[in-house]
Amino acid sequence: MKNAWPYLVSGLLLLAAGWLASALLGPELAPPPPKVLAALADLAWSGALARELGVTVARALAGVLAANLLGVALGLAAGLHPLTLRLLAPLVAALQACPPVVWISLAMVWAGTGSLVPMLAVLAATLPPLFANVAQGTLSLDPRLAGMSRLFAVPAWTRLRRMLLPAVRPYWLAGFSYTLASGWKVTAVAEFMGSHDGVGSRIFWAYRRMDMAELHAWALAIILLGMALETGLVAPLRRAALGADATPARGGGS
Amino acid sequence: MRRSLVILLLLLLLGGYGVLVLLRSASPPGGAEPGRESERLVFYTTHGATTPQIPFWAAVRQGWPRGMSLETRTWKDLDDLRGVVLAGKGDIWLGHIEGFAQAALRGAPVRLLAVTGWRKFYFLSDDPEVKDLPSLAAVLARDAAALAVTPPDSPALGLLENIARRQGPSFPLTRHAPRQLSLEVLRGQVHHVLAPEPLVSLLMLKAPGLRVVEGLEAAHARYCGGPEVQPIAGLAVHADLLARHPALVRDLLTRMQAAARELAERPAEALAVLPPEVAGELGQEVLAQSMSRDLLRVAPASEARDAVLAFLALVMPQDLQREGAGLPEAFWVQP
Repeated sequence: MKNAWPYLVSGLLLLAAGWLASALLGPELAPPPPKVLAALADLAWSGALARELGVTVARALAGVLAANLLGVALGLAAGLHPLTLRLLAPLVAALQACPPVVWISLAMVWAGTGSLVPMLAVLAATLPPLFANVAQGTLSLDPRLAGMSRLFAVPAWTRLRRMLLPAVRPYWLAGFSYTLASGWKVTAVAEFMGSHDGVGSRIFWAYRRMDMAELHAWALAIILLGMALETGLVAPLRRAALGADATPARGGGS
Repeated sequence: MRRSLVILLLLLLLGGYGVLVLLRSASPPGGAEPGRESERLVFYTTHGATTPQIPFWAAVRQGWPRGMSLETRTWKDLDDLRGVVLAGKGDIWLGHIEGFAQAALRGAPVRLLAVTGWRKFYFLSDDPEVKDLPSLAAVLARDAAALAVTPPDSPALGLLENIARRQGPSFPLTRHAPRQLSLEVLRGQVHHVLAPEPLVSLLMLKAPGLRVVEGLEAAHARYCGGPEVQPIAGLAVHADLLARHPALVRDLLTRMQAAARELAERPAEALAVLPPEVAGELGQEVLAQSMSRDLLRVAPASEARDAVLAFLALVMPQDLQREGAGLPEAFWVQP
C-alpha cells in the first residue's frame, strides 16, 4: 500500500495538470481529462490501442534485440583488440553524438517508409552506447586472467562463458537498460515521421485531424507504456547493473 | 522481481501481437489466384487525397491489376513521399508533380503516368471585409498581418509570385507546417490562410468563421492567363514496373481515364470508390467537402507535358535552370 502512494500522487498531479491546461487553453486545444480518458477507452474497446501499441513494441523490441546482438559481438571483439577500439573511438563518439532524428531521416531515405525505418533508427541510436559499454567492460578484464587462460589452453567457449561474459555483464546491463528506455521513444518518433502504423503514426494522424481528445489519449497511452517500462524493467536493470558492478569478483570468479 | 517478470511477459505478448499485425498487413490482400504465387504491386498513397486517387481506385475496382495483388502503403507528408520515391520503394506513387520531377532530376526511377490533381489551393479568411484578392491584400496591409501559407515549400508560392509579377496583388507571407498552422487557426492567431485541400475542408470544419475567398488556380488564370487548373498532383510508376509490364501500366491509364469521365459528375459515387484504408483517417465529412471543390480529370503525362513543364517552371525554376538539368525523356510515360 505504501508503494502505491507515489503513483497516486503522480496520477493526481497529472489529472490536475490536465484540468489546468484545459482551463487555460480551452477544451478545443486541451480536452479535459474525462474526455481524454473516454477517448482512451474507445481506443481500447475498438482494439486500436492494443494493435498500435503492439506494432510499436514489436518494432522497438526488434531494434533493441538487433542492437544488443551486434553491440555485444562488436563490443567484445573491439575490447579484446584495444588497438581496434582506439582507432574506432572517434567514430563511436561521433555516432553517439548523432540525434535520433538524423538516423530517422537517413533511414527514411534509405528504406522508404514502414517498419524498417523505426527498427533501423533504434538500432542506429542504441548501438554506439551499447558497443562502447561492452567494449569498456571487456577492457576492464584483468589481462593476467586472459594470459593465464591462454597458458592453460582454456577453450574459447569456456573463456567466453566463465570469464568474458561475467566481466561484461554489469556494463551490458547498463547499456541494455539504456536501449530499453530509449528504444520505444525513438520508435514512436520514427513512426511519427515515416510509418503508416504504430502509436507514433496515430499521434501524427490525430494531430493532422486536429482530434485533440484522441491525440491526448495516444499521448497518455505512450506515457503509461513508458512508465511501465521504466518502473518495471529499466529501473530494476539499472539496480542489477549497479549491484553486479559492486561485486568484488570482477573478471568472473563465479 | 515478480513485477519485472509480469511487465516483461506483457511486453512480449504485446510485441508478439504487434508482429502478427505487421505480418498480416504485409501479406498480400485478395486478388491473386488461390494457390498461385502472384506478383505484388505496392501503391504508395496518402489519406485525404480525393480526386487525384479516385480514378486509380476505380480501376482497381474493375479488376486492375489482374492476376497480381496490390498492397497499399500511405505516406504522411511530402518529406515522407520524397524519401520513398528517392529510395525507389514501391511500384506506383500518388503524389505531387514537382516532387516527382525533383526525384527524377536526382536520378530516382520515377516515371510520370498521369496528372490527376488540378485544383488544390484556396485562400481562406475569417474577415468579412475580404471579398477577393485585392481586398485581402488591403486587409493584410491595414492590419500589418501576413498571409499564412502551408506547407512551407508549397508550390502555391510559385503561383503567387507569378500573380504579383503580372500586376496582381502581392501579399506578405509567413510559412507554416500544416499542423502548426492548424493549431494557430484554432487558437485564433491566424485569420488569413492559403492552404491545400483537404486541409482547407478540415480547417473550415474546425474553425467555422473561415470561408473560401478564392481558389489560387482560378486567380492565377485571371491574372496570368491560361486555364483555371494546374497540374499539381498525379500518379507515377517505378521504371522497373514500366519496363516489366508496359501493357499493365497502359491498361491502368486507360481505365483511369474512363473512370474519370464516368464519375466526374457523380461526386458521391466517386467518393464511395475510395477504400476505407485511405478514406478513413480524415472522415467522410472532410472528404465530401474537399471533393465538392475539386475536379475529376485524368490527363496522360504525354498529353499534359507542356502544362506540367510550364507549372514546374513556376514552382521549381532553380531546379530546372541549373546547368545540365532537365527532365529525362524517360520521365514521361508514352502512350
